[in-house]
Amino acid sequence: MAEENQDEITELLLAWSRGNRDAFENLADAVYARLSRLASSYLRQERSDHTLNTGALVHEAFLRLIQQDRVQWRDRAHFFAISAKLMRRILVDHARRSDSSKRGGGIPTLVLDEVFDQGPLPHPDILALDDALQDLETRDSELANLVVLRYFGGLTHDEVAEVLDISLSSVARRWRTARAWLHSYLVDGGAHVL
Amino acid sequence: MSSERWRRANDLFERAVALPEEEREAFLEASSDGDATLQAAVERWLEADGEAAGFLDEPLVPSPATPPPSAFKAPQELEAPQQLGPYRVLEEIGRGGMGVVYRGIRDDEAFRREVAIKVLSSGGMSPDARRRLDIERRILASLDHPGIARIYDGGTTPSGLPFLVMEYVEGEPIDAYCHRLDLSVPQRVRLFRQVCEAVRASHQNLVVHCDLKPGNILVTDEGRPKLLDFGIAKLLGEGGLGVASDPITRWPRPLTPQYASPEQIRGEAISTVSDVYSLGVLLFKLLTGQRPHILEGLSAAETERHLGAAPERPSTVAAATGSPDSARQIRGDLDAIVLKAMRSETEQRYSSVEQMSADLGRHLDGFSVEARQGNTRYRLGKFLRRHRAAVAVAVLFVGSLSAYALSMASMAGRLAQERDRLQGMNEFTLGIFEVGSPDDETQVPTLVDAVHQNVDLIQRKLQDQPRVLAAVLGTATDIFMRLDKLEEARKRADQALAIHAATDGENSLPYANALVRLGSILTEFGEHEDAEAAIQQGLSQLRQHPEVAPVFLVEALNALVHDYCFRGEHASVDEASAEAWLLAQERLDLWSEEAAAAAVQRGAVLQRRNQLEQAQALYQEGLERYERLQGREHPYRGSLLNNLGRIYLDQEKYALAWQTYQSADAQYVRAFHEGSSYRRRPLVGMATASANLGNHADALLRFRKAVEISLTLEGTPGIANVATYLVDYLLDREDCSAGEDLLRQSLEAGRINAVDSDAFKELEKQIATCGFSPGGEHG
Repeated sequence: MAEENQDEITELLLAWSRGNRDAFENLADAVYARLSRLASSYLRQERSDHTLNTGALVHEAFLRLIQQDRVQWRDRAHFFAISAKLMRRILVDHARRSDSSKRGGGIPTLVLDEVFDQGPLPHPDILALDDALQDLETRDSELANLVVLRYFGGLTHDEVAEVLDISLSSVARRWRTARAWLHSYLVDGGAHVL
Repeated sequence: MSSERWRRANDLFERAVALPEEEREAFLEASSDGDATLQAAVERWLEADGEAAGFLDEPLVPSPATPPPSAFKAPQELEAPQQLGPYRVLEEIGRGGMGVVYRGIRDDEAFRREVAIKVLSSGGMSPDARRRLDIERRILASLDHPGIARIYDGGTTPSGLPFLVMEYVEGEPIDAYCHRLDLSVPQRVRLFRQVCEAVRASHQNLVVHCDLKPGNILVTDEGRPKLLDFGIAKLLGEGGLGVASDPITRWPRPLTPQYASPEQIRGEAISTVSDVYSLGVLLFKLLTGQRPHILEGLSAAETERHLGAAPERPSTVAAATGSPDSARQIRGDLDAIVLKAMRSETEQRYSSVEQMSADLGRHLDGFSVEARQGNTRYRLGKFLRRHRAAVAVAVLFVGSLSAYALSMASMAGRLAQERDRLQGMNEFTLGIFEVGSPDDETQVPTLVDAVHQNVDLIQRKLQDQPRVLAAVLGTATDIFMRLDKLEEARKRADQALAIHAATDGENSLPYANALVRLGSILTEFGEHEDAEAAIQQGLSQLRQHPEVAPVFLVEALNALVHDYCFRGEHASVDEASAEAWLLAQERLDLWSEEAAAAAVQRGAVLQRRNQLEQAQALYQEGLERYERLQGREHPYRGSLLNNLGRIYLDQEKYALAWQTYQSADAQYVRAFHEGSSYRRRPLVGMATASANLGNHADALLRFRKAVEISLTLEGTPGIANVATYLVDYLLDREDCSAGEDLLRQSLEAGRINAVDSDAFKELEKQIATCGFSPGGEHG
């Protein structure tokens, strides 16, 4: 990676942590392409002994993009918060691309392991989820943030509590609200009139 | 919405959700202050909360601190079941990311069968997921191929885990097998081709394996490889499954990076050529004992970088690991084949597994391989654009001729001469494309001019290198044949034969091949007895050479069938075509052009015997073959369509017949040229179909075109037959005037060329009844 690039990313990161909100957008642009490329290659890596844990690698990749000695991390969770936001962007863009290629008449595909890889409930359509999150952001940005951290960033409740500076029990309660709201939004195709 | 109200709703929800379900309604009623909208919203959230158990619980991107999601968790918690449906579980034989595999047995009244049972570790599947699994299982179960472990059955364990019952394969991984038996390079390639065949079969069923690696390919005691574990296979289809893919559920897919294609690693669309890549890696491993990319221990960025780069040549790796013998055998063809399969750009790879396998077959048979022709083709680019149709033929011959050349080389065993010969050949073929090479589009030389000019030039140059000259003359013969320049073709074939007789002797393979070639030209001249004699003699000589490539035998038999056909020697046709087809089935790649040609011939015989259904089946199969052959510019495909058109005509399916004949005609134009003699058959077929459909304008147009083509051919062969079709039609319509010009010309041409056949006499009689005005030259 080019030195100057690393430099720029670090500067932006510092600016952002000093409270410069615009810096985040610039930061995202700067690391986006690189991270996105890395992310998609990690997104389907090996299992078992050669496990390349997707999230870990994305975080690691991000760490490599910055000059760590110049950045004072309040804590490591804070850092993950940044990468969670970036991950959301990457994943949404990725989904949008595969969505449009699907609409473009590509061959519909069905993958056996899709069936097995799912958790207890299938992951939602990421684009629909993103729409819902955007709506949620207008109502309650902290709640939306919580979802991004937890779902896109893979942060534990402890880490979320630390980043959002709220209690652990609040995280659990807020998470349940967010989940119910998003679920109803996705099922109903919009927010319930309040 | 006011944030005040949002906060109230949040608060109410958080408090209500903490209550037992039965108390919630009363609580909301009491706490909503009569705000019905607010109450309804919170009720809806509560309802959603009930449905949302597990929703979003598993993050898309797991934290580095958290263990991998459950789907990849090693399923230690699974207890071995004793019995699953009719299957008794015997022992655990494997454990992986997706579940545990047991050896089991079905032992009941019905039958006894050993099976492998794979219990999948992620439970709690949604009904939709279960339905999809069922669909998948059924499709995979339809993969009935000896090289693929069958899926027999499936179900759900008592604890709710899905399981699949598969054929139990006892064997060892293909790389270990090759190593243990210390197989030679050709033996390894043959074994590998069997793997290709199984993969091809699965692709035919629109299933991509996605995880081809030695561990998934076991070789049985009988030495047959079997593909296992379509666990992450992917189906390509027309969407008939009614299951759209969900982009989100696609990514956390287990795969084996060392064998996975770059597009797989990058998470892009996977297709059959992704398997071609994995097969390239596998072949690399089998040939060298090493994998092309060593990815273990590399950082992710290094992995990514590594995958973009072309791997080292297998021969280099073999040489470096101390197998100079192998390295020597791998260098060249096999290097090129492996690297072509492993190109990171999908469009640069073999476009199908059978193409890769066919190239390996060509290598084994001593033919030149496609993987090494890239450079020459690029140089032809400009000419190709101008002569799209004609060049398709010429390029075809460049390929087949080198094969012909190689057979002579292995025969003679004189390498220096072979080198010179190939050089001369190159000069010739490239020379064709350089003739004139005018930048002015209007001055494009015809292909005939190019061949003609060039063959004379080369002939002078090669006076002192007779073998080279003979090979060049052979190429020229083929090209002239395709261009319907029969006189030229015959002249070159005679010359080539004489040279082979003088330099290689009359018992040599090259001489025998040259005889067959001359014979097939004589057939076109209507000199059927001489043709048969030449082909028969060539054939019997070929049979005396044990090392002869089967493709030459099939070609000779095909030529013989062709000749017999003209003479109505049905019994002989039957015998020869049966042998050709049998030989093709046994010894040739069934997806090769020659095999397809033999199948078409066989179909024609069955058709003549009125076994229309069998013939039709062979043709349909043949069409699929040609679909899979690159380029599709094969003249035999035209013949196939032509014959199929005839079947439809007999079945009175005129519209279908017309379409099929039209495809045949178009195919002949592409494979030969606009004025090709072969076009006459489909044109007459189209005309007949049109006449039956009442489309007389089209019928007349096609009949006329067929006659016109006959008139432009040297010696106007077959003019009597074709013109008779026209006059019959005109008489039937009771108006000969529409074809008067052509009929007069036909009579004239017949007389000039001293055609003296019964057919011609019949034509003269017919035209006489047309009642043309005096001045007509018939008498």
